[in-house]
Amino acid sequence: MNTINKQPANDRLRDLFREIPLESPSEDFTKKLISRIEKEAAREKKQKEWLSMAWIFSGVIGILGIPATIFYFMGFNVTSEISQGFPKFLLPLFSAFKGLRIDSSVVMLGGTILALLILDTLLRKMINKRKEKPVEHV
Amino acid sequence: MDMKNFSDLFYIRRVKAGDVQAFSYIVSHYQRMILTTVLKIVDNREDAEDITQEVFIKVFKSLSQFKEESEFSTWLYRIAYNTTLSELRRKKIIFHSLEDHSYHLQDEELCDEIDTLGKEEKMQYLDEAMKRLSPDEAFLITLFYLNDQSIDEISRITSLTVANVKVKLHRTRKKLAIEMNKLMAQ
Repeated sequence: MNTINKQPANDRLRDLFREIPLESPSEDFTKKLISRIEKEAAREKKQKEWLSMAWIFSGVIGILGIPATIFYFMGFNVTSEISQGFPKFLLPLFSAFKGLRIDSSVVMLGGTILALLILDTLLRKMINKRKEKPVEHV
Repeated sequence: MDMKNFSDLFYIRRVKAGDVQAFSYIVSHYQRMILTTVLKIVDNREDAEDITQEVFIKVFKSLSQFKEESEFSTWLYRIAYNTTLSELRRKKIIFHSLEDHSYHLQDEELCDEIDTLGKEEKMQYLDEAMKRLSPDEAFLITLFYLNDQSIDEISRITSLTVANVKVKLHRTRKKLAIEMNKLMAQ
């Protein structure tokens, strides 16, 4: 129960407020509001899409860029014929592979990590899509 | 959990799940109360409707932050309180509220004459007296009397301490009674 210190037993103000009729908004109020809400929802959805695209793009840049940068600073030279015809920024990658002794266990480990990352992304996307499905009316 | 809050939560979860149309339930359920509360603070109906729209837009935008730990209505009124005060500042709506000399005044209650007045006349006096309060005082007393919010709920809505809410409500009630009595004496 609501109580204020020194609240009078017969609170006339409370009685007065109870008589206040609730105001109804103008006819187009709800329509205008829901249309604004829909626009806002569409804007948020678009923003999320852009954000996820940006994440994917930066992921790809990271996957290619980090090894390319490492190889470049390790001073590998571009001598391999395989590198012919590829963009210049990828050349350090090929030059690096030339001098490497590829161990199958390292390749397996790298491949497994990559596969797990892809699987994780796909699973998250699937769970999110399931969550976004509207609940049926009762 | 009461039925009202239960059905609120049902629709809130649907909105969170991407069903934008479910928000119309929230709007239809609370729009009259929010609009009536705002109209007790601002004179202009158009301004009051604009503010009410802003309240619901903010509610929609922040719905993901509602953790279902408190009652939805308390959370919504908290947004309504903050939005109304900030919109009034932004729109630079000027209030002619009374200077706060009420500390020195003795307790005053509404005089008996109020019972002799018709409903329309009473409402007119109340509206006029409410406009002489500051926006936060008017909001506070409307929450308490019209929306039947408890002191604890008002404290959560306004971020004031319980003691502060009690003092403010006591003072506001006194000011309102004084102004109503003045208007009736004229």
